Amino acid sequence: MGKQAKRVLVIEDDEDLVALVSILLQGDGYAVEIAGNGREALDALARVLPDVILLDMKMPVMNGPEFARELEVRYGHQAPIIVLTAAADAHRRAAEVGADAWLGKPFDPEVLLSTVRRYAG
Amino acid sequence: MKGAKVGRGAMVERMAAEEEGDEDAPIRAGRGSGEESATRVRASSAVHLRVAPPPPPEPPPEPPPKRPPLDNLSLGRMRPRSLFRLRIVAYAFGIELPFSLLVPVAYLRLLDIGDPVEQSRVLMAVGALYLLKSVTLIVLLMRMLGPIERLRGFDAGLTWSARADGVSGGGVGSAGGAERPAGPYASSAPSSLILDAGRAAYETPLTFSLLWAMSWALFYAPVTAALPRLAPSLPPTGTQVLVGLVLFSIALFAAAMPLAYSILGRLLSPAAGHISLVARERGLSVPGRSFSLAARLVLLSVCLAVAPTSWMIAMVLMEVGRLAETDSLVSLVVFSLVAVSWAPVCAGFIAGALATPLRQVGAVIDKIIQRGDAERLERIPIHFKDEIGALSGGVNAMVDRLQESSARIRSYLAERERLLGDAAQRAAQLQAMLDNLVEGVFACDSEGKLTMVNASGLRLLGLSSLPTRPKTEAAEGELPVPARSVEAMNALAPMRNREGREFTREELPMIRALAGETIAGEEQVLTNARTRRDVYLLTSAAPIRDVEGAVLGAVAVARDVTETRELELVKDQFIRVGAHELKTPVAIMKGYALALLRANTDMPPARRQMLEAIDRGADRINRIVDDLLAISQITLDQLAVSLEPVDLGQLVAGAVTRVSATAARHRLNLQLPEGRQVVARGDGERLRQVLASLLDNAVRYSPEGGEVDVSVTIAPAEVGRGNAQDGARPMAVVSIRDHGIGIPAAKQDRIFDRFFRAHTDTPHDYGGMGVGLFLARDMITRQGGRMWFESEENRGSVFHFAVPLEESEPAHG
Repeated sequence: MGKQAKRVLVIEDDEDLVALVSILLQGDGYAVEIAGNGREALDALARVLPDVILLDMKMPVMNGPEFARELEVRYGHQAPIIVLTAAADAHRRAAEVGADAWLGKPFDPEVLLSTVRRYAG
Repeated sequence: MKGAKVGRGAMVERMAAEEEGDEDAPIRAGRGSGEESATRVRASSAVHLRVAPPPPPEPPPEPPPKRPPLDNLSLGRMRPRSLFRLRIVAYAFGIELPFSLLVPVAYLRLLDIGDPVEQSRVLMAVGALYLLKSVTLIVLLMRMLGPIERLRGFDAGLTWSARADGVSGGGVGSAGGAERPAGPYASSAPSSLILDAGRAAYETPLTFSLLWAMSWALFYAPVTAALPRLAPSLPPTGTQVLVGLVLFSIALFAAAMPLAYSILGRLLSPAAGHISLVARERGLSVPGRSFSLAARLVLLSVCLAVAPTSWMIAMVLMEVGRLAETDSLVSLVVFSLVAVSWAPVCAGFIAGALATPLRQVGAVIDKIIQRGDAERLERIPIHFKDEIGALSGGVNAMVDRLQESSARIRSYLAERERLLGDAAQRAAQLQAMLDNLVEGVFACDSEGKLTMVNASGLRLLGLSSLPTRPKTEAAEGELPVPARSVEAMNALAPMRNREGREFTREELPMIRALAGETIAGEEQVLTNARTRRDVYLLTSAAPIRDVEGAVLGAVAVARDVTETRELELVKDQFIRVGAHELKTPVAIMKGYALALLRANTDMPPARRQMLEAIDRGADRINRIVDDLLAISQITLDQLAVSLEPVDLGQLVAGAVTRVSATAARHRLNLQLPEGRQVVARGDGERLRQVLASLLDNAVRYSPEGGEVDVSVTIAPAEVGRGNAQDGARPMAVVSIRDHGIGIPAAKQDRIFDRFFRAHTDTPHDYGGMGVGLFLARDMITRQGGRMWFESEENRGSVFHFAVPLEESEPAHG
């Protein structure tokens, strides 16, 4: 693992879930950046662009779709987005925001890691 | 002679008065006071003597008489009734008497018997003979009239005398007796008596007047034969005298015949008329020989002409030799008086006899013309069986017909009234029911023209009344109403389907119903014309057909489910938020449990099991939440399925693997078609949900453990009870067989019902919400598939579902 760790931006308002995802991703050797909502995520993006974005849909301040729109406006489609949602029609919501993949809550850690691995390149 | 003349005149007047009274009574209402009658009588009698047409009918100042107007023409008028025949006789011979007194004077003059002794002897003989003749004739007449009297006797207590007292009911039928309608002319007499009486009434005038006239013709023959003894001073009878006597006889015959006939005819015709009505009532034909009016008039005219002529010739023959004598003038006056005096009497009677029935016919015809109540029309008595009688009979038959048809019309009208009343009542009931229905009810004819919209229907549409006026700009508070049609209704309050797409004309429920379709409980959205708000409807519609099945129109019933739907929406919102809120903690639980398991491969088994239990619990919560969400969305018809290529084999394998991991006692066998992928067209997530549900059931309801066989096969399009549809693709069929407790036959019908749990309150109640199969089938159906099952209690069940294969998939390997 001489290479620099891939960066994953996790945008999720539930701290417990963020912690879980962080543990899993860090366990797999990713550098995890955390944002509690879309606004914070945009600030984080200003510092450095991640390799993968894990995006929750329902959040305070700025929700998932709003963030995705803003991201598209500011940076274009530079980082793949994996939508993480509790909605029943997850895949449709994902398609709406132009996401590359989606994960329904609850999710299997293996599936999360394999999906992230696929898009982190 | 002067006295005789005066007496005769008085007699005529009296008679005429009687007759007039008789005739006019029906026209006048009831009986006038004596004084009034007297005045009228005098005027009328003058008319009679001039043989004038019947007196102009008085304008009836009072309502029609209560009793039948013809009554008092009948014999019933006579009181006491037993004097009927005597009355006839008295009239007849009373009128004859003055003439009879004159004739012997003429006879004496004719033979020129001057000696007082001889005169008195001849007169005595004549008188005796006259008495004999009269008594004989009277007895004969009495006998001939016998049947009439007997008929009267029969009905004495009943109609005739009752009517004579003015008691009998009015002409409008009568309170029908039980046995047969007792009309005003109902008689209890036997038919033969009625016929005999009728014959007597019709035939007596002619028969008897012939006899009478004959008796007069022969009256002086015995006297003449006895002359040599009665008046010996007379010279023997010469040829000239004989011829004179023969002519004298002929004159007597010719004079007596019309007189007798007209008197008797006039007197008996009311009785005849009455009997004709009685016979009519009984259904008998009018009895008696008919005798043409023309023939009668000819006979009478001939007599009227012959009598004075022969009288005069006889006189001239007798007087030829004694013209110089002063007595001749007296003779001339006597003969002239006799010759001219009786004719007006005859004429008066004849005129009366002719005029009365004609006037009655006229009165009836007048009433018919004036459209009077047909029920009140009287039958005309047939006074003589002649042309007038036939006319009266014809009018009677016409009145019969009229009354029949008017009775028929009345009963039709009554029936119609009743039916209309019934219909109106039913319509009112129906309208009240319709207007108080919560559901909107709409009806249209085959052209799509609205025929009925109830109050709820108008309320749903937001209209105050059926659209009738031409389309105009909507005034304030008023709605534009193009026409009274289904399309117009839709233009005002457009209808959409659940997805919000506006209906084309052909999609409108009523138009579909007109095309023969029956629609049961479809959901639609209507925009209320007044509030412009959406109204959610549950609509049913059906064609209205005639007996041959042709569509006459359509009816639609729409229930406003907006409120229910709003409640459902609120509930759905709640469930959705709740589900969402549940998912994150479940994800945390499951995630940490799995993360721990993953990180610590050398964990002690007990701890590992605990973590696995947490994972399963999280899965269960998740599934319950998913079911709740699906149920809510199905209720709102918002459950979305995507149709994408799904690798069914892989999907089933995944599901089986997941269940295998937790079902220790069961062995799950999976059988896939060899050497090919099974790619179906459907919603992967939903299919996963369905599979999880079915596999979970299979495991749960085979508590003893054992084999669960899962297979994926390819089947033709019509698999599973369905019919092949257009462009039918082959189906992929997934079958899951267990060997568990099965489903009791009695409960199999309801197994797919929402919240139905076949094993509730049985030892096999393993929990669950009773929504798994309901959701599974609904989801499969939404993907264009079908679900069915076979099951036997205590042997196990097999559930199948079929989903269409992806198009690119080759039909058969």
